[in-house]
Amino acid sequence: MELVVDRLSKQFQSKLAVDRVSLRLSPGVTGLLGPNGAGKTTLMRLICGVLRPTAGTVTFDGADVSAEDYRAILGYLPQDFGYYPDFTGLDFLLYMAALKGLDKAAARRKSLGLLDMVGLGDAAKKKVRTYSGGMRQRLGIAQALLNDPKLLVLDEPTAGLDPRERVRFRDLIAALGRDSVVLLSTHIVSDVEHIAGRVLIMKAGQIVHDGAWDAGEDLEKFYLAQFGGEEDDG
Amino acid sequence: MGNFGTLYRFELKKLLHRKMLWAALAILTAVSAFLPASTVIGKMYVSGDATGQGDRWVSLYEIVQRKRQDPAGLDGRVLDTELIREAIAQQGILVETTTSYTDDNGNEHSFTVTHRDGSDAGPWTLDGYITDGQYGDVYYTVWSIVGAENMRSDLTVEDYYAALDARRERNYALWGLSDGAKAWWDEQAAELETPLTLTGYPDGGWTEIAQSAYVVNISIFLFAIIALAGLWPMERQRRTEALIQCARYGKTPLYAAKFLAGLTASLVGAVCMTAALAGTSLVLLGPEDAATAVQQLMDPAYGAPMTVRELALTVCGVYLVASLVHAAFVMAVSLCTRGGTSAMAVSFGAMMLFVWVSALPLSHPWLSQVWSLLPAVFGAGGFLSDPRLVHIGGYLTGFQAAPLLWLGMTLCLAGLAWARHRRIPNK
Repeated sequence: MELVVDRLSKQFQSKLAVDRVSLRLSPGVTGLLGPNGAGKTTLMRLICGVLRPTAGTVTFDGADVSAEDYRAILGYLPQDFGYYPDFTGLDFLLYMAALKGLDKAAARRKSLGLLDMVGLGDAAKKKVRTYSGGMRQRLGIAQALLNDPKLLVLDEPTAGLDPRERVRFRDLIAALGRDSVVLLSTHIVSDVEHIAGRVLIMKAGQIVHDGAWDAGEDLEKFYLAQFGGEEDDG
Repeated sequence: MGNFGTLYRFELKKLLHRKMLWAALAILTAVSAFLPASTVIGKMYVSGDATGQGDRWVSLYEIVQRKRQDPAGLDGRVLDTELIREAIAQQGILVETTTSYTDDNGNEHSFTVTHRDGSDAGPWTLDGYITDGQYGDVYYTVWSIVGAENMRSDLTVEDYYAALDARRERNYALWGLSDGAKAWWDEQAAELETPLTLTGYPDGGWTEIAQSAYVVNISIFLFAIIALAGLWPMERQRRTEALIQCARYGKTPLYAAKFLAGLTASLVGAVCMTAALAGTSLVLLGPEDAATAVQQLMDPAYGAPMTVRELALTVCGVYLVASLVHAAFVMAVSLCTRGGTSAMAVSFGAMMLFVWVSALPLSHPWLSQVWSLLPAVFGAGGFLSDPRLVHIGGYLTGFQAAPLLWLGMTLCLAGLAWARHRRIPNK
C-alpha cells in the first residue's frame, strides 16, 4: 500500500504552486506543514485528482489518480468545502455514500454509524443549514471516512473544533493511520507532533524537509527554524 | 452504472430544493393557462336593430359559447355546391366599392372598401350576438381557397376543388418541393375522401391548444434556462465540487444522473405548462372535436388525416420532445461556460435569436429547412402550412422528422456536455 508522487508540478499562470514534488507514502500518519501559500492545499488537491497537474504523476498501488480504482480508495476532507443546505446530515452522507459506491444498505448502516461516531447522531435528521461550523466540520470528517479509505487526505481537519473534539479526532486520525496512508495538513503543529510519524515541510512549492519525527522533540521549534524565525501567519 | 438510481434521486432532490425553479414553474404555468383566457376576456358592443333596440355589451366569453352552438346544424353535411351556396347566401357576397373624392386642393383621391352584400341573416349578427353564424367556418374556408373575388352566388364545388389543386401547385412552387415530395403530397391528397364531410366544431379548445403550443414551447425553453443554467456551476459555487470530483462515481455516473435529472425537470415543467394550456382551453373554449379534412387539402402539411384533437395532441407531444433538447442545450452551455449567470445569458440570447429569426429565406432551401426544424423555431410562423419533407429512405413530414431530429440533438448535446465534463478538473 503506497502512494507515489513523482515530480509533480502545478503552475497557475506565473506562479509555480507545486514544484517537482516527489514522495512515497506508506501506511501511517504523515503531517504536512508549511506557511500559507506554500502549496500544501494545491498538493493535496493534486493528490485527490481535484486539480490536474501541469507535470508529474500520482499513483496509489499503481492506479493513476484519474482512475476510478484510485478514487474508490480515497477519502478527502477539503479545507474549504460546502454542503447542500437543504439536505439533512443523514441525506448528505447517504448521497456521498452513493457517490463513493456503497450500496443502499451499507450506505445507511455506515452513515448512521459515522454520525454517531462524530457526535451527530441526534442531529442526523436536521438540515445542514442549521448546523454550527463545528458540526459541519465533523460531518465533513464523517463523509471522508464513508468508504473506509486506504488513502485519507485531510486538509485542516480540526479547524473549527473545540479543544475536546480536537483531541478526540486527533486520536481517531492516529488510529486510522495504522491501516491507511493518512496525509494530514494543519497549522496546528502540536497535532502533527502528537500523531504524525513523518513530517513534510513545504515552502514555495517544494518539500524542504521530509523525515520521521520523534514525538519527544519540539516540532514547533524545528518548524520555525526552517523559516529562519519567519512566523506562520495561518 | 454504479448507484445510478440513488444518485438520480439525489440530483432531482437538489433541483427541487431550488426556489428559482418553483418560481419559474409557477409563473410560466400561469402564463400558459392565461393564453386561452386572453381570447375570452373583454367585452364587445353589439348593435341591435335600426332603432337601437337591443344594443348592449356582450362578453367575449358569451360570444365564444354562442359560437360553439353554430356548426351543430351542419354536422355531417357534405361539402357540395348546395352547401357552398347556402353559406354564401347567409354570409353575403363580398363586394368591393371604390369611392373617389376631391380634396380642398383639388387633388383626386380614391379608396376601396370591401363589404358583404346580400346576406340573408345579416353578416355579423345572429340573434343579437356577434358570431360568424352557422355557415361561418364553411364560408371562410371556401373564401380562403377561391379568393374573395370568386365568392359569387354561382360558385360550385368543382370551382372549389379546382382552386384547391391550383393552390397546392402554388404551394409546391413556393416551397420549392422536389418532384418526389410533390408526388408524395399528391398521393396524400388523393387518399382523402371526397366530397368532404363536415364534422364537429373546428374553433374550440383543441384548435387553441394547437395554435398556442408554440408559445408554451418557448416558455418551456425559458423554464429550462432558469432551472438548469446553474445545475453544474452550483456545485462550484457551493464548494461541493471537490467532494464530488474525488468520489468513485463522481465522474460518469454522477454526470449521467445529473443530466437525466435535468431532462426530467424540463419534461415535467413542459407537462405542467401544456396541461395548464390544455385545461383552460378546453374549459373556456370547449372540448368539441372536429375533422380537419377541409384544412388537410388547404394546407397539405397536415399529412395524415386527423381531427383537431389529434392535431393538438400531436403538436403537444412534439413539443414535449422539444423540452428535452432545450434542457440538453442549457446543460451543455452550463458545462461549457462553467458559470450560472453566463450560461443563462448565452442560453437566453440563443432563445431570443431563434424567436426573432423564425425563418430563413427560401432562396437557401437546405439551410432554411434545417433552421425551420430547430426546436425553438419549429412552429413559429405557422408550420402547418410548411409542406417541406425530409427524405430519409422515405418521406417524413415536419411533425415526424422533428422529434427524431431532436432526440438525436439531445444525444449529441449530451455527448458534447460529457466531453466538457470529462475535462473537469481542467485547471
